[in-house]
Amino acid sequence: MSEWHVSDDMLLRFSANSGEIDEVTAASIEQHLTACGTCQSSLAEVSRGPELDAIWAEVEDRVDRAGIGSTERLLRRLGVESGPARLIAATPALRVGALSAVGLVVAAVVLISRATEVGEAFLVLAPVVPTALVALSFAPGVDPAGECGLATPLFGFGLVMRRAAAVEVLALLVLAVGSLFIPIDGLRVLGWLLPALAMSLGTLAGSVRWSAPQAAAGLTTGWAALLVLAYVAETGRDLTESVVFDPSGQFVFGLIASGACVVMVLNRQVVLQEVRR
Amino acid sequence: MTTTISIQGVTKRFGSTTAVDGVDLQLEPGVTGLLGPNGAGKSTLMRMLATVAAPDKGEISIFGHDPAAPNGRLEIRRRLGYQPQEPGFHQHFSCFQFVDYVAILKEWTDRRVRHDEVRRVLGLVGLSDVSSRRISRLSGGMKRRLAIAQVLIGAPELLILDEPTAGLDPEQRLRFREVLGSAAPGATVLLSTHQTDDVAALCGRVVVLLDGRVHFDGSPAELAAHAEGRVWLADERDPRASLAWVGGDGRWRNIGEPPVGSDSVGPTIEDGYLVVAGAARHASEPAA
Repeated sequence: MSEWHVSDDMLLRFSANSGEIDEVTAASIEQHLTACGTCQSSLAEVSRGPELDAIWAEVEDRVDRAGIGSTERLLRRLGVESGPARLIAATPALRVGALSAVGLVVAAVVLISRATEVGEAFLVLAPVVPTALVALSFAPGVDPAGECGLATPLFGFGLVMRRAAAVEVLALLVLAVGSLFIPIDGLRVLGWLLPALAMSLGTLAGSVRWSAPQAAAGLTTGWAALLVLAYVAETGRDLTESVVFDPSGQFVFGLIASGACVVMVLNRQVVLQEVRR
Repeated sequence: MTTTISIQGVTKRFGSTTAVDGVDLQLEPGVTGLLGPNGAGKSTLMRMLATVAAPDKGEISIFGHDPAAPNGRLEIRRRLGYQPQEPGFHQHFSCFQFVDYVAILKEWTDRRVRHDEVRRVLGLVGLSDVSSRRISRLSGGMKRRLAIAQVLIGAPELLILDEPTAGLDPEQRLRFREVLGSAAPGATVLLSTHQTDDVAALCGRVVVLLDGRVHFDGSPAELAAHAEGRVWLADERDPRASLAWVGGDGRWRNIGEPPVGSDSVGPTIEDGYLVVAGAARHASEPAA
């Protein structure tokens, strides 16, 4: 038996078969291994670690994926990493029950709009959907794991904003799909988008002073009052033709949404305090 | 010894109620018990120390950082484990998922390492066998242990535990003491409890909080010493006792000014606490 033995490092690279060892060296090691019992044992030892690690990682991944909720699974399929996916999926408004309710409401409004061949109902109600979801997500005490999570480093304005963005994107996607079936021609079918952004972002900005549900209720009331005024001012004409949904009205809603973002960023500590309550 | 927590003149009000009233306290590594009746301000004080609530008045310094400053708060939270009095849970999570969720919030980004840590802390509190069980299907004691598990993630230097043994059976309480002793050596631990035997078993120091103020701060032996010579046994309730109850042997345990020739016994921590609480109540009553 040879006195010389292949080093563990060399055996590890040989067993990994990753191309790090040139062909001549690999052939030499292979030749040596056929005759050296010591190196055969060493090879078994060094190659076991990475193999076991890989198997363990695979098992862990499968077990981990098996028990996760549908929202978290969807986020991970979309490429969100497991950690952020779990944090975002824990948002109350992203639970299957809440999302199903949103889907049903939007579907009902679409059906009504199509049955009556009037798209107004959709434009009027669509901005309320993300507003209600944001209020549901950030109402005081609504997060069941609130107190345990509050005293952790990652709980901050960034997490609140990520959760708000997830809620917002999901609500807007559902509404965008719904708007495909609304009997309104041209870009006016998207007349709900900027009011929806203004109201939902306004809800978060409003939590600087009030609770999120209070801010949402106030903004929804304001939205209803605005529509009534527009209806009266336009002497009963189709609301979709009113100033609320024309470019100048939409510009104002865009300004309100931008202003709400500025208010939130400038008062992020106060927003956090409200969410923490 | 290094001071972990230093608070001066801390006050917290809720409307017209003053929950914490000008408290001064220094905490060093070791286990400190916070004793007091319901509504004494224990949870409010702990929430402020856990950076969850802010004081209306006074100064708090933890590890030399100000929890009111965002950067200071972040540094404190990185070294903190907090168990609130009524920990909430995402009921649809399994035990593993919940602790993993908190670990993610505690910045454990590497999934393999994080999962190893989650398994470790679940093992410490004896929940390994039910790690995949949904929280909605756990007993009250198991939920309490789960809340303790999330505190232990990363072996924090500061543990704030609000009634950690409430709802645990005697065996689980003993297990908790063992876990706390082994999982947090060298850490600063502040725990509130109604169980004076927990204080006796775990704490090197005890603080009695009554009506939002510190009425006693010393060792458990010093607290018990407050009742030295003021506890006696009798076959019936002594009218001179300010407090009395029947013990397991059927005799009355009286606390107050003992009559001459009474059957005096050595005081416990509970006796000392009752004497301190009684004296505070007496002091706050308006003079006749």
